[in-house]
Amino acid sequence: MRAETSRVLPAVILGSLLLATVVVMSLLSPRFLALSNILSALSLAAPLGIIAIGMTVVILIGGIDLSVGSILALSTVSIGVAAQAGLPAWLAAVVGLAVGAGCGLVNGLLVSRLGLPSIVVTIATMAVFAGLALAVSGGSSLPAPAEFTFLGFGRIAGIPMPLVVWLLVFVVALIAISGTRYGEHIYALGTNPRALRYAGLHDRRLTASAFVLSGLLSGLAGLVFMATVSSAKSNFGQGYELAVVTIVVVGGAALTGGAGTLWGTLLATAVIALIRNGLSIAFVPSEVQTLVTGAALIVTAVLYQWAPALVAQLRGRRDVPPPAVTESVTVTDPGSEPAHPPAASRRHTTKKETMQ
Amino acid sequence: MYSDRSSQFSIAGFLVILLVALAIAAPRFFDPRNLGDLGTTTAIAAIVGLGALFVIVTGNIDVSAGAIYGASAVVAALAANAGLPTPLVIVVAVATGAALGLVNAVLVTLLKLPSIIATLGTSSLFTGGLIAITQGGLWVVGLPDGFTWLGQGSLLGVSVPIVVAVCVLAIGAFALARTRFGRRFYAVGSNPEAARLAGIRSRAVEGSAFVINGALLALAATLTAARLGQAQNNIGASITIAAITIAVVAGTSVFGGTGTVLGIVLAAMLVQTTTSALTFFHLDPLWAQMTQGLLILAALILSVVQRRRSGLGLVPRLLRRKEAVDAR
Repeated sequence: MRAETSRVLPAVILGSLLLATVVVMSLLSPRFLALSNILSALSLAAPLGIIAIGMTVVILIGGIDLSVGSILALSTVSIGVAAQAGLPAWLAAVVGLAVGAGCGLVNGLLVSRLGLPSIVVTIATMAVFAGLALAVSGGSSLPAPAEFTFLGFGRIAGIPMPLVVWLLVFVVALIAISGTRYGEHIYALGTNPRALRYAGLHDRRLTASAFVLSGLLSGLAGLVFMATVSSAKSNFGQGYELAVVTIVVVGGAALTGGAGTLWGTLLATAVIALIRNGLSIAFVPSEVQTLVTGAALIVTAVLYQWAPALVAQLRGRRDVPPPAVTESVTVTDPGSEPAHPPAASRRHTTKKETMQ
Repeated sequence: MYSDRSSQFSIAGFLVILLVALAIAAPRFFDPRNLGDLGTTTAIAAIVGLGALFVIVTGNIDVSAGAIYGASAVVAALAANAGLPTPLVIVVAVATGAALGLVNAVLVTLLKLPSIIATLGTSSLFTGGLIAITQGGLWVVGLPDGFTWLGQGSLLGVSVPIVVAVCVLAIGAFALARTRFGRRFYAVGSNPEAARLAGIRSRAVEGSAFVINGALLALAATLTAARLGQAQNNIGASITIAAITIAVVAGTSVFGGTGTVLGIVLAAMLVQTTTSALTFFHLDPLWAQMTQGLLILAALILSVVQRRRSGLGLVPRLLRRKEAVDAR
């Protein structure tokens, strides 16, 4: 049943969401359905889409990364400073990616080595990385290297470059997650970390790798974002954590880990990008857009939580239990579980097992 | 008994070191005016921390704290400007905060959403909703004197926010440590299954933690609006991180089940003194957030190191050694 709902349900929800969005938005504005508009909306969402791929992997292992927006900011200002110091553009870009991956490594080590819950760790590093971004840039806006123009504004076969980068990342990630042993281990880590450990696999390294990936992709998103706005500033990426977590949850991933797909995330990014674009075209103010995003997060989370039980009841089956989560379990972090010394993890383990 | 006393000793020690360093580096920091201001903001921060304690003790998290705080501050300011008597303003604001907390409570306990998702969602619902309802950047100024007394006045020579905070914290400490109602929060946080088997309705307890948190946030926001004599909707922007910092630095286990009001008071002092020192040296408020992030990490790492080294903190370890001697 789990396999069935975890694949069919997101498809149904995302499909109907997409349909509803397209219908409503094209009624709101006739310009919405133009190909150029759709392409530009998706291209604009590329940074979010790229980060959401990394976030999906983190959420798959049962963690969460709230520092992505700050990592994006820190990467962009690092690139800006590196370019200003006279580094060639490509090297500056590499610096930005390395900074992103480094931030991810800090998160990953704190979560995997110390067994700390990723929510609290990444809330803290969110503040730290944002502060570092301010320190590095001195608060001023830095210009992007001229070589980034193609990345920001170029097209390949009519497709805007940010969108091309996003799709490339998606394909690579899809192969890694669905087609390799690494992907299998990621799912296994989210489903049953203890089993993974008993199987002799490096659960800590896997956990850390997910956060490094999330950091690296946040850095890449920063590079793309910087190219599209031709500048770097320490306040870039504010609020991204909310937008990205929303996307991943709407895409059908469960914060308890082990369930979710990259396809779901891709579709959800597109749906949310189109909703935002449609609302912008219809001159709906941005705070209302924020409100709609928040509502979308809650409504889809409730749907995912309750739809399986509801469907079962409609079919008249009584053998399917209602959602088993009576405690909100996610503050405890399954991804970190194996790293715990027994004394510290007893409570935590009880919770996780209660849930299962 | 229920929390690691040693974490309280370390915060106190840290605080003393910080104050000594400040006394040497910047004696003017101890100017009565500055100290009075520090006392007031610490009192308000401690109220916020107490709210976070309730939520985190039950094993949840509330990242909508800043949104609730901002919304309540604006509601309080609007009510005060509408000419409502001050006690009624407090009631209206606290009711607003409690109602917003209730939304979180319903999402987490009845609809069974993970608290991080529910509160991330409501955070943008509350903020977006407030801006949409008030139509853009709302800035309520010129609050009446009767209301600003709440934040700026004094009672028997002590500033009103400090009086309020002492009352609230005393009630909170008593309730959490000595009443059946309060003990339930620890029970649910440390072992929800055992709590349920013991007949505790854990969902009701978790839900009430969110409502209490909302009410306390609103009280703190009202005091802040009164202190500043104005309110705008982004007034709560830094509150979410501050609340979590105070709770975590206080030694509240992020796995639920532990944490004390005394710890909250000490942590609020530490966090506010740090922030105030940064402001004193004219540093950007973002540095304050960064410091809070570093404080969270330091507290987390310390707690892990302590547990690893001995399974217990320093003082309990000493006590245990004494017990062992006695037993012999």
